[in-house]
Amino acid sequence: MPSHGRLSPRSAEVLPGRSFGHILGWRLWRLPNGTELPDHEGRLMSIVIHQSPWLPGEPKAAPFPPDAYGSGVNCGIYAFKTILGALGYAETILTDWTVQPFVLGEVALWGAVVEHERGYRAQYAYPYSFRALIYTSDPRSRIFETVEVQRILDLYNVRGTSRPGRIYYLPSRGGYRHG
Amino acid sequence: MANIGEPQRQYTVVPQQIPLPLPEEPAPAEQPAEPVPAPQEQEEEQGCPA
Repeated sequence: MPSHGRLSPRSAEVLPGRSFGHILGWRLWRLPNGTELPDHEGRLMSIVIHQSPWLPGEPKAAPFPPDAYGSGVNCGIYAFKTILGALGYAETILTDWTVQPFVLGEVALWGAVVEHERGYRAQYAYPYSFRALIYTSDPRSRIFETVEVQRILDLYNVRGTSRPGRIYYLPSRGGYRHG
Repeated sequence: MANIGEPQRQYTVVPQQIPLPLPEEPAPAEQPAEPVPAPQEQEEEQGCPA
């Protein structure tokens, strides 16, 4: 059983290298506005892959299964083991003028999984909880009112917490602040 | 790309109940769902796009 992953209560390992249930990791999604990606308005999007939507009710599948050392060495859906890992990553991509709000939450992972020091790469994933909306000091990042964001998140009908709080990333003022 | 450190190990996680909101049926008692092919079986067949 993976020592760092949170598996579901029914999880049990019966064969070496194989676990049952799912792993929970932490990751970020972004919410594009209709001007930027009109085809994906109202959908959670991956951070790195620009036009990669996460559709409500459908597992997100990596184009190619990840592996540790072979041809799929960079493939997979990424997640961090800890919330601090995800927040630290957000600091590397957010600036004072980032327009899009980011969504921080847990993600369920399954299928082929490569465990790394600080995270995972998985073959399949689906949002498990939404914990925080990350805004910046740019007023355009509040382009979605909270009600609108919540309407989008409700479409995913996640199993865990679905009512995120607000935090602000203000690098010029020392980092994160609660809303 | 997120820096998640060096790979440590790989395994296959077989969902007993896929963590999606749609199916509300109870999970099978003891039998896991359709097994997901182990990564070792696929790594030579498919590469990762640049």
